[in-house]
Amino acid sequence: MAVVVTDTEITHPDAAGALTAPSTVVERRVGWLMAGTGLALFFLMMLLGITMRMSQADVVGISDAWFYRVMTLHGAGMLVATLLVMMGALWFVLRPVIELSAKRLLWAYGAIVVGALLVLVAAIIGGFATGWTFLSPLPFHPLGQWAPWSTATFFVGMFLVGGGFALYCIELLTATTSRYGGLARALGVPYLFGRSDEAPPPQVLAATVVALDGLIAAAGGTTIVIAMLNKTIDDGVVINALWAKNLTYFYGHTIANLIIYLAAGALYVLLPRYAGRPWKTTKPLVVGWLATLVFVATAFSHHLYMDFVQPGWAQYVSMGASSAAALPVAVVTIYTAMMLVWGSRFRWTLASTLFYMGFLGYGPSEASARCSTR
Amino acid sequence: MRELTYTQPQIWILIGLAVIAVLLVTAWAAIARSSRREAPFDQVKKVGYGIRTWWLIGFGTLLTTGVVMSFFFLPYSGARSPHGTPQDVAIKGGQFYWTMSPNTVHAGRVKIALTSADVNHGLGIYGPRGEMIGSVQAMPGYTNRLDIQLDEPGEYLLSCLEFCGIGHHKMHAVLKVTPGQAG
Repeated sequence: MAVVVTDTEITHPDAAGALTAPSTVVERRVGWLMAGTGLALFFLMMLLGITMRMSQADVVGISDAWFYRVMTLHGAGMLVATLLVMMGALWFVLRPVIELSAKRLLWAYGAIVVGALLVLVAAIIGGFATGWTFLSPLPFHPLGQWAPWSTATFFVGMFLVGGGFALYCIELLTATTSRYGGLARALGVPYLFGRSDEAPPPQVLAATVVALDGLIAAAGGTTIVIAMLNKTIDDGVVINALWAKNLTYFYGHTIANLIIYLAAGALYVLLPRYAGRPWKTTKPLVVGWLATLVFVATAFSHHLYMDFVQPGWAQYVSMGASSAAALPVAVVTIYTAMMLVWGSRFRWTLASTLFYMGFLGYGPSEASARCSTR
Repeated sequence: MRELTYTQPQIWILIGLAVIAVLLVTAWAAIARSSRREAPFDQVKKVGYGIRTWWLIGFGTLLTTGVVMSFFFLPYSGARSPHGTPQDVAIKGGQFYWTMSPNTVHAGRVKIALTSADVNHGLGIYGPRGEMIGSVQAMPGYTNRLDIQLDEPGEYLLSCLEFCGIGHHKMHAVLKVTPGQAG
């Protein structure tokens, strides 16, 4: 079998192209910056998580006030950490097929990192401790634990995190739609209905779907965060608790969920590299991503299952969407990944082994997530 | 504080999950092992796509059945109907207490009307043996209603399940359920 030999490794000709495309020094640095910052933050948050567990086990003594500050920071920090890593990963693997700007990615990175720092200041110095969920009206009932300035700092931080991710989504969407000639084409719709033979590669489908859902979620997030900031400044502002809860989870749940789909986009490029087999766009893949577009945007209401004042139809829609979201993942992405590995003379390295084990975790975690939505 | 114990259904769920985990690990190991020897990708695709159709049908049917069946157990729109004469209990959550009126009921059907005095709280109801019976959120400005069967006499622990501030973990109360039927 013909192989293309690069500096250090062997890549199948069909799988070549994605990562064998030359990258500039700036691009590599930006990639490392995203991965490095995200991983550093992830390990820092792990330490906070362990600290909380040790406190619960009475191994270390932490005051209630500090425990909940740490909890707030840990929730928001873990989301930002994994988001940064996966944003960087998808950006790097998309670079050979669509035109992306390192400068604009840096702007998004800057907004998110500054946002995370403000959350850190609000929690550690300002004592802000509502959990990452900041459900209204808890931020305005501090019981002497935090001052309005730290509430404002926290929400400006959250605004920047959402804004940074929105910038990234705009960048992806602009690039995929201009490269493939419109949104429908970037989503593979003409290919699905047989009107075009050319389909965008899987990572582009992932990027387009993530960008669309990410922008909708960021819009919801911006709305609630501005409302909360408004109330911080003027206590006379009235925020409906049910409205606030819906928007908070629409924002938080959806962005956390999209991190997995950012990772799926990176997977489409990285796995073929180790398997030496191509991952091509097929009609089931297009259907899977179109379904995911809808499921991700409608699943958040499962965070309100215990609120019986939430309209009943929203509960049923969310129940259906949360469960059905497992179908594209299990039948298309994980299954195809396993087909790629089967009998492939897979190149087992530390990275690819961890990658492979990640799938193993993905299956049961999907199953338990479905159970927990019951 | 009482110890919370695992009751039988939870043990069966754990056993079920363990079985699924073992099957998955076996499948994963088999797939990983297969990659030692090369199989032509066209052949893998031919067989793989065939199996995938059945996997889609099987998994899709399982998922659809599970979702549709669970609709009948959801406590919305009267989908699940508790039996017996309802006894009304008004509960209010506040930082960091529960008020109940009344705080003692007879074993049987209880209709909880829950609201909050300040921020969001979550009312977790644990039976006399420590198992969770139900959960409902307390939201300021709204009254969430939960129709529930409390058939076993004893003390039911109420604990806050939505983070509500510095005293969240201390927010407990007890609802007493006495033997006998409600009027």
